[in-house]
Amino acid sequence: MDYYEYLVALAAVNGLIAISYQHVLSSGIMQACQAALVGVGAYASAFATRDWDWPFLPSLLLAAAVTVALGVPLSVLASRLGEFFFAIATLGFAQVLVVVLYNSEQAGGAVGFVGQPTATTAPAALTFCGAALALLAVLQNSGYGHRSRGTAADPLACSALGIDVNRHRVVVFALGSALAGLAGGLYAHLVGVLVPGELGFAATVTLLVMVVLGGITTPFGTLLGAVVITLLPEVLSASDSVRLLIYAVVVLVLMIVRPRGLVGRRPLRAPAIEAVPAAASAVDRPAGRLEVSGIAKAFGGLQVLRDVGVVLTPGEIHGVIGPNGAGKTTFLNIVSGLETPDAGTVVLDGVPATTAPPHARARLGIARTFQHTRLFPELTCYENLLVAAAAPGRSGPVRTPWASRRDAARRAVAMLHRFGLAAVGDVPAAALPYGVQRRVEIARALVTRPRFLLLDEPSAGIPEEEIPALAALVRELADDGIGILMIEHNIPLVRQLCDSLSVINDGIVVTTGNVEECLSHPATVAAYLGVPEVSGA
Amino acid sequence: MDVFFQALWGGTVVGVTYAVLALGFTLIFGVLGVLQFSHPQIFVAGGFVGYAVQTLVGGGLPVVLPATMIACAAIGLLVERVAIRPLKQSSFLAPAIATIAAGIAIQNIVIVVRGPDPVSFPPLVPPADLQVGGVTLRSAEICALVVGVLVMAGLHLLIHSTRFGQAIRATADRPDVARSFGIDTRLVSVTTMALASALAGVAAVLLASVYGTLSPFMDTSLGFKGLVIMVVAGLASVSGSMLCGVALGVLETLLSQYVSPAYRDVFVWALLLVVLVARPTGIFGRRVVTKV
Repeated sequence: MDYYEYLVALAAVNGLIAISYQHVLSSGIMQACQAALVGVGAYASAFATRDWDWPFLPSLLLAAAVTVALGVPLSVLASRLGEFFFAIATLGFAQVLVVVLYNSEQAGGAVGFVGQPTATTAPAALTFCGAALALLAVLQNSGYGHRSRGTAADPLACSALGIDVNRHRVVVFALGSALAGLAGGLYAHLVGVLVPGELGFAATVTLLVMVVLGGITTPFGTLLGAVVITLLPEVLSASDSVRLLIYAVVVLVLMIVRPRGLVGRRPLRAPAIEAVPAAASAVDRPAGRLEVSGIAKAFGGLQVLRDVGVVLTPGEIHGVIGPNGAGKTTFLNIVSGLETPDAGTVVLDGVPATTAPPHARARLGIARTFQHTRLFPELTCYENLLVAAAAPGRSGPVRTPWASRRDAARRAVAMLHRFGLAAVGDVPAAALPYGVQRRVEIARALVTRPRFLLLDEPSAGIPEEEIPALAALVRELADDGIGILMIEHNIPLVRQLCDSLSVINDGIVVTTGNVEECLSHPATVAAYLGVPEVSGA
Repeated sequence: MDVFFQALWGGTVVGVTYAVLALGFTLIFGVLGVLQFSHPQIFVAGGFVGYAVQTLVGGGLPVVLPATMIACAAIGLLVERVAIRPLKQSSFLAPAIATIAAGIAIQNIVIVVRGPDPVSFPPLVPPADLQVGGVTLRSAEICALVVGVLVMAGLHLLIHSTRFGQAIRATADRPDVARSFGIDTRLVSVTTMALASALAGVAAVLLASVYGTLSPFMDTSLGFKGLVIMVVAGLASVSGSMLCGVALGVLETLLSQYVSPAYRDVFVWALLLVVLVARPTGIFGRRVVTKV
């Protein structure tokens, strides 16, 4: 293999490694051991061809398998540790691996592992890199890709949409590990000598530079970054340290000029599909009941909820009011599964759901919005809805990926039309006025086809003149058969919309039932105005 | 038993220098919100500045330490201006990558000037040994311990008992609110950067004089340790970083003494993992409650 062919192969292998890392990072998994995973694959396949006389290709499969077997248990830690600690834990894993290899005689120790055939040709490296790129490019625009972008931006909002964030991350990690292992096998049979130091922190940092410099949002950008970083030191002819100095300056300048990377992902545009009549958005499930009773919750010594319950039926709008700090949002969090109550039950159609995680509840048909909207800020309005459409819904017919992709797009577009958002479909969510963001969030929740919708102060932050439109919309949803639980401070809106009302104060329901009766109830007045209760009341 | 106490002493001294280095990381992360990856290379540069001052001018610790601190503060300010400030608004990773590049640049400038080989670091205080029981305390070690502890105590006072310290803590907590109360957060950021980088210089001079040697490639392993101390202590916990630094130094030394020098790091990391799983916010970190 001549020098130029070697360079092409090296760039392709580095490209494959870098896109495997981009795949993991862009899903919001802050992992710092990609180089170590590559190393595991490299050593595994090199052992296979040198010591056990395996042919080259099976050794690559072995590399991928071993790396996945190591990577998956590691990824389970991610949910336990949170971003930063997971990064550090994986850093530690990489370092342990380096130490073990340094001290292993079979692996060649510090001198390195030699003797495996140089079987990786430039065409082979290019083929694997191209295939991986094609796979990741397809995945990027699929439901899987939407789930990844969603989990990276806001895992909590994703779980409320029905996405099992931890499971998705394990799958992403497994694919990232498999590609890393494969790349490791190619690398081992390209360079001829494997040194443990190449698995460590410094190597992962170089990969990080490739990913961020090229563009973390798309594998195409990352690949470009990998090619630049691989070839840059080669084209500079100077002493090692001068070369590295120039390299550093180039990286610095490129970073400043293009802080978001050389190439960015192009957002998916909303396709021009005719507005679909109500059938697509209406509830397609039989009637049921959401019964919540006896909920108690304390945070440390603070008893927020003592005994709160509510029954919600399809088509009903039930309001929840109460002074600030009454425990309304905590109650909503418990109903949607974001928090676990100390006592009490949540029962859906007679089936207990008290301990079901948020994503499971979303799949049962409970959707919610947040007091402070939790849209995915950098995704467009349309893409925000696509994340919801990509959440595994309740049972449905098995469809081809293409059919379900078309269906997701159709559902998202239908919802854009229904909410009057078609004109802003391609605008990033963060760039929209707050009132519009609120509408997008309700639309996103509805894409999951909920039976019950929990709204946390839908009118907060919305300009006065937009409130009638919001009210009409909520009414329409209820008329479609959705049961709505609505926390609200705007009493005229409550009067206008709600079929029934609960007043919460000090962790208990002080009165519930007819809206007007509740509003004029002495306990309600006392809760808001602090009027001392008449003795014996 | 003497062997144990000797190891304990050596570990404490080294741990104090780790802590001083990690404090810089922690301060920068807390106030500027950036992972300053070139901090270890500023440490290396500081070590070589100290080496140059002592060999060319002399004067021992009273001259070398301030000179190194000034030089490191200047490098830190340059890094802030070139790599951090232009990128702070764009994303979390962009400034981190830029500081990685800055670190590579700093390290290779050192290598271009002085070459890649380790140098023997001249003593900054007259070499002497003190025997306490069966334990030998070298003058360089005593000096490192005293200076390191003084610097940390001074920093603790600065942060908790002065107006400027209050401004630092306010900026670290909520920069937007701090600004609305009239705190010049940019000035606080720049000063913190200079201060933290000067700490890297202190750590470099102390550690190099304890080891008696200095290499331009010390950055990787030390950068690691700084990062680990910062995280285990709980992000942005200053007193926690001090304790964890010392703990790491002692642990490392005892493990190499009694278990196996080769696998020392494996045990340190295994322990780290146990701590992380048991206390996911770090030992001294505050619990962060996400409100929805």
